Amino acid sequence: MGIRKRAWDSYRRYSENIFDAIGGTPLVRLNKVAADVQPEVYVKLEWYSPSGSLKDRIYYNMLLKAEERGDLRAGMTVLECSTGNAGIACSFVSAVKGYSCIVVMPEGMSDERKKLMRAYGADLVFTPGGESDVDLALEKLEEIRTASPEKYWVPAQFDNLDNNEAHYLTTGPEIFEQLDGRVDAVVASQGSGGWVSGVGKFLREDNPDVKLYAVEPEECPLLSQRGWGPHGIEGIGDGFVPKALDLSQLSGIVTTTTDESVEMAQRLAREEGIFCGISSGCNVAAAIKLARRHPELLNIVTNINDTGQRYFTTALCGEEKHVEIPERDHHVDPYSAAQLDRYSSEWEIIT
Amino acid sequence: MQTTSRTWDSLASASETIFDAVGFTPLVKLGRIARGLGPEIFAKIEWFSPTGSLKDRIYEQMISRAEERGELTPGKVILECSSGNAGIACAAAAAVRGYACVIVMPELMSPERKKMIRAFGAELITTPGGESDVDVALERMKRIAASDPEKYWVPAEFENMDNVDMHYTTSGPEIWEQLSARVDALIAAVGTGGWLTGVGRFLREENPKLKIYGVEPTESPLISEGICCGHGIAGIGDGLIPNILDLSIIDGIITVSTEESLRMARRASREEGLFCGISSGCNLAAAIKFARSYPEAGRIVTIFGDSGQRYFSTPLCHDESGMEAALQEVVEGDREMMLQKFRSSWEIIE
Repeated sequence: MGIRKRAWDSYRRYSENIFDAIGGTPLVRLNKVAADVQPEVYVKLEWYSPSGSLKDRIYYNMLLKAEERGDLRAGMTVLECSTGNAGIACSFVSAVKGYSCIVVMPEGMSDERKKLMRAYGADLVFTPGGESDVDLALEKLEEIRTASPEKYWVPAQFDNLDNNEAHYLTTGPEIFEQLDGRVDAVVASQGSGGWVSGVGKFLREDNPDVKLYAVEPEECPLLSQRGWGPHGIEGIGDGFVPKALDLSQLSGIVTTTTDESVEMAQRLAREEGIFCGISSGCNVAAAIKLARRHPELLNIVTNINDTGQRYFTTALCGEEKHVEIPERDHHVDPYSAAQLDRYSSEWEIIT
Repeated sequence: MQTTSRTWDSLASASETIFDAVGFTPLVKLGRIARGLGPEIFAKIEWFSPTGSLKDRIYEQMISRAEERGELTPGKVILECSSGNAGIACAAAAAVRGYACVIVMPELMSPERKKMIRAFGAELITTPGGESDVDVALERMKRIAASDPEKYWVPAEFENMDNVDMHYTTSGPEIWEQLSARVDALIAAVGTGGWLTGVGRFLREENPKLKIYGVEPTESPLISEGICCGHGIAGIGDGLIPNILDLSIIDGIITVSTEESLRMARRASREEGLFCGISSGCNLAAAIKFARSYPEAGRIVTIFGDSGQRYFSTPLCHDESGMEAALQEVVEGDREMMLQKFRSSWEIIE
C-alpha cells in the first residue's frame, strides 16, 4: 500500500505519526503579482509538509512501495543522489522509518540543505560542482552502490515511477478538487519530472485539453535547445532528461533566467506574503509568461516547491554564493537525445 | 480573511490569500520519544502556516480587529517589537494587507529571522542584547511610536488581548477536538503568554482538572525565582512578565536549560522526523519532565512553535555563533509583588 490522498479534514484527529501530515496542501490565488495578466494564477504551497517540500510525497511513496516489493528491508541503508529537497525528504522518511541514509550531492548546494539532512541523521557525500553537475553525483552513487549492492537500496527519484505515482494519486486530485475541475494549464519546472508528469497525467485523464508546460533555466536549456550550462536555480535543470519526465505529454517549454526567478521569488514575499525558494520564483515567472502568451487560459496552476527558509545564504537573500563549476564537456546522453528527437518538434517554446 | 470562519477542510477550495491558510495545524503523537513514559505526549505543529510559525494566527487577527475598530487605517505604518517569529508574521501580514511595517528587535537574534523580516519588505531596527533583552527593544519601540502617534499602529503582542483571544477561539478548540475531549495537561514556554493563556483558559473551561504549567529557561528563571539572565532559547524567556500572561491559571513552572532544549530538538528531528526550533525542544523537554513527575497524567499537550529552518546559524545546527551575551537583571516593583503572591502556590519542576 503506497501513499493515499489525505482527507482535507484529516487533522481533525491527532496523527499517530508525522507521515499523516503529508499532502493536502493549500492552493492560493496570486493577486498583485498576476494583476496585469488575464488568467488567474494559482500556486500550490508545498512547504505545508513535514520536511517542508514537495518531495515528502514521493519519498514516502517510493519507500512504502519498495518495502512492499521486498526491495527495501530492515537493516538496509537508503542511498540517494539529490540536489536538496529530495535529499531532505529522503533523510526525513528514512529517519522516521528507522533506516540509515546516505545522500550524495554536488558540494555547491546551499548550506541550509546540508544542515537539514544532517539534522535528520543522514550522512552526506559531496561531488564537484553545482546544480548542473548532478550527473557527477549520480556516478558517485553508482560507485558506492556497486561496492556493496546488498547493503543499499536506491530510491532513484529520476527514474522511479513511484515518484510520478505519488503526484498522480495525491497532488493532481488535490488541485482538481481545489479548482472544481477548472484547470486549463499546469506549468512547473522540471527537476525529476515527477510533479509535472504525475499531475499532468491525472488532469489530462479528466480533460485532454489541459496544457502542460515544463520550465527550464534559460542558462541550461536542455529541452528547448539541447544546451547546457551552469545556473542558479537549485532543484531544477539538472542537465539530462529524467526517465520520470514524460515528454510525450508536454505542450511546450517555458524558459526563465536565474535573475528572473530570484526577482519573482522576492516579489512573492513582498507582495503576496509567500516567502519561497528560487525554483518556486522560477515557476511563477514561467506561469506569468504563459499567461501573457495565452490570455485565453482561465486558470493556470504552478507549484511553490519549498520555503525561502532554505535559501538564506543565496541570492534570494542578497548573498552571492560562488560555486566552483568543473571545466568539462557536457554531452547530451543517448536517452535524452532520443527522447528529444522524438518529441521536441511538437513543442511550443516560450522564453 | 477572518481566520475564525475557517474549518478543518477549508483547504479543499482555493484560498484568496495565503492568510486563508492559517491554523488547523496537525497534532502529532510523539510515539518514540515518549516511549516508556506513562503519559502520551502530543505536539501541535505550527509550521504548517504561511510564514512558518504560531504567530501567523495572531497577526491576521490583531490587524483585522484593529481595522474594524478604526485604529488601523490605510497609510499607517505597523510598528512592532519582536524577538523573531512575531516580527516575521507581522511583516508578512502587513505586506499582504499593503501596510508599511517597522520591526524593532534585539540585535543578537538569528540572521535568518532578520532576513525573513526584510524579505517581506519590512524595515528592521535593532537594539542591544539578545532574547532576554526584549524589554530594551520594547522601550525603543515605545519611543518611536510616541514620536509620531498618528503615523504608527502598534499590535503590541505582549499586551494585546486579541492575541489571547485568537488562541482561545482557534488553537484551544482545535486541540480539544483533535484529542476527542481528553486532555489532562498543557505545557508551554512563555513568550507573550498568549498561547498558554488562550489555550489554557479554553481547555480549563472544558476540563476543570486540567493541569497548566509554564516553562522558562533554567538560566533565566524570572517567573519562578525573579532572576533574569541571558539564555539561548529564542522566542521565550524575554526578560519580562507579559501583561497578557494569566498567572492565576498556572499550576506550576518547569525550568529547562538551553542545553536540554537543544538536545531534545535534535532528538525530535532524528527520532520523530520533526525538525523543530529550540523553543519546541524546550517544550518537549518540559513535557517529558512533567511526565516523569506525573506518570499517571494521561494526555499531555505542548506546542512546536516553528521549524528548525530559522536556526541554521545557531547551536541547533552545531554553529556556535548567535549565542547571546549575559545581562543580569532582577524584577522589581509591582510585577514582583504579584509574582510573590502566586509563587507560593506553584509547583516548580526542574
